[in-house]
Amino acid sequence: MKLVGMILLVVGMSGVALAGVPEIDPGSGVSALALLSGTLLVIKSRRKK
Amino acid sequence: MINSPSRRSLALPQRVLDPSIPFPSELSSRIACLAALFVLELIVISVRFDTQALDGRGGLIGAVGDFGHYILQSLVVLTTVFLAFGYSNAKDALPTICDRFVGTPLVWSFFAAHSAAMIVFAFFSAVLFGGARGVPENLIVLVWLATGVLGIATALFFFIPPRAVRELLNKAGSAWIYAASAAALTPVFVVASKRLWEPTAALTFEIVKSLLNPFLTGFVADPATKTIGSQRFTVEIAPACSGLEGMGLMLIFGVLWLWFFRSDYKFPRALLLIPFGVSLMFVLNALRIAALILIGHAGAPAVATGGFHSQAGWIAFNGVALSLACVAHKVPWLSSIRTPVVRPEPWVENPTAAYLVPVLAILAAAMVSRASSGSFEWIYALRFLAAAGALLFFRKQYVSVNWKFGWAAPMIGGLVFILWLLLDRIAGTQSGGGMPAELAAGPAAARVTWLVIRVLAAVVTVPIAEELAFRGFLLRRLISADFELVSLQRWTFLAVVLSSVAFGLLHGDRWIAGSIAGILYAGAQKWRGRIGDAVVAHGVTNALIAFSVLWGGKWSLW
Repeated sequence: MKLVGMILLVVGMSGVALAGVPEIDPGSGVSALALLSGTLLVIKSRRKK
Repeated sequence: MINSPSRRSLALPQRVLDPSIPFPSELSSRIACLAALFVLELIVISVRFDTQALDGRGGLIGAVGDFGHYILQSLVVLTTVFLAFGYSNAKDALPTICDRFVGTPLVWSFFAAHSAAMIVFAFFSAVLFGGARGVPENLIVLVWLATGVLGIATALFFFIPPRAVRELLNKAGSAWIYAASAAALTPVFVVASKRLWEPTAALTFEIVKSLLNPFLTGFVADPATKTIGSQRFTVEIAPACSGLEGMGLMLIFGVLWLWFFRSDYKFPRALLLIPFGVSLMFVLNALRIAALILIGHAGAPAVATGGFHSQAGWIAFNGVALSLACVAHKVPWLSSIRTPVVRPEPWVENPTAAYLVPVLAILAAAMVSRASSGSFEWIYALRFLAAAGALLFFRKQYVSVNWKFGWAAPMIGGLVFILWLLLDRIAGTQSGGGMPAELAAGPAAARVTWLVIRVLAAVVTVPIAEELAFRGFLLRRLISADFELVSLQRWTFLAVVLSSVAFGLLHGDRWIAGSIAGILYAGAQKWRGRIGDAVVAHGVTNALIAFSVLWGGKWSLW
């Protein structure tokens, strides 16, 4: 849940950071943040033997 | 099919009933209902009233118009910081509070008070935003704000009893301080960052100039207008393209990552990761602009100003964020985690990977594919190949996934299709439109190949990858960290709603239809506890949409 909470914060605060300027397209934001959070979930949940 | 022992050990367990996982489902359901009510009311208010109507007005109402968006930004920050840190502080006490909370009836007098407050709020909103003259405006603004706050409080107390709210706030502890500080600092940062746009854009211009000057023939650079490029292709580096946006995003990510995973790093040296990441984002933004100019100069201006322009920033951000999060773990000077023993097949031991990697492969391929495209995504096949490759890679882990399906699955798929079209019509989305001009103008063989792959992706790889991720993984992961132990027939309100909304958000403007579709696919999975039902329902919906596109000419559905 730690990672889920962190991603929630990143998503919420990116709403402030992405002030509608074209440098980082807000339209692609959901896919990009989904990719980042999913990859982090996979990496952090690697199972140890 | 009889599995060998070694194969069985790799397979993903299915339908393991585990009713004992504790989860504050009643509280979370009520919080979700509260959030849904607030979002609905916010949408209605945002659609009905525009703060631009307050431009040029004086007094308190003018201040609302001038600072309204800052207040909204601060509220978003306040809520997200409070929820994240509050949950972190209160999670141990949650089960106890929830035990006392179970069965507490809703207090309908609070709902009546909320309705009354919102009616008064709407009335005064109409007066203020309507520009009525001859009324005591400042007094009305104060009453308007008071009814707004009253509306929030009464809705909160309707769903969650005041005593439980008090207990939760107490347990959240210092989260208030972090949330209030972050909210107060937000407008300061937003205003300050805008003042930095001009000088940062000038620096970006100089870096791009020094990067391109040695390589570009017919180099053009005008510092006055910040126009740069070649005689064939130029761009203007606007203040908003200075790189500050990406730097701000990286600052947020870096601070949060180090805070949440502080036990994994050695401090204070790990703090160096933040300026490193932020600086890297600034340099990468200059490289992005240089690459964009080179692409345009090389004869692909549509790609430069289209897909590359919109995707390169995110590719840079994701690359830097993942590097900070993962590579830093492996640097002993920064990481406090002991170096893990190298295992021959690390992915095989990670069930999350089997569920998520196919959809992540699609997202990554889509990013690359869009970045390489102009207005039409010719290399859509990349998404199909990426998903197919990932599914093939993890095939041994899907051995025990129940891919069977019953008669209800295609029925649900058909129902979603009808709802999809219906919501499209209600939303006024243009469902017509012809075949994209680029595709229509292409050679017949390329056109047919593109269409075949597009349909195959929509009907086969996308449903499998998305159902594994959203229903197979996320829905169950929101119920328990040991998601494999959660039965596919187990539902909690919050898990179904959140996983479905997350699924819906990936569908852009059609996020409401996507969310409803997610709930129905979750229902298909719950029916007999088989992921195959959800996959087939999803595949049927996509097949019917493909049919509408190809035979009905409704190209905007793709």
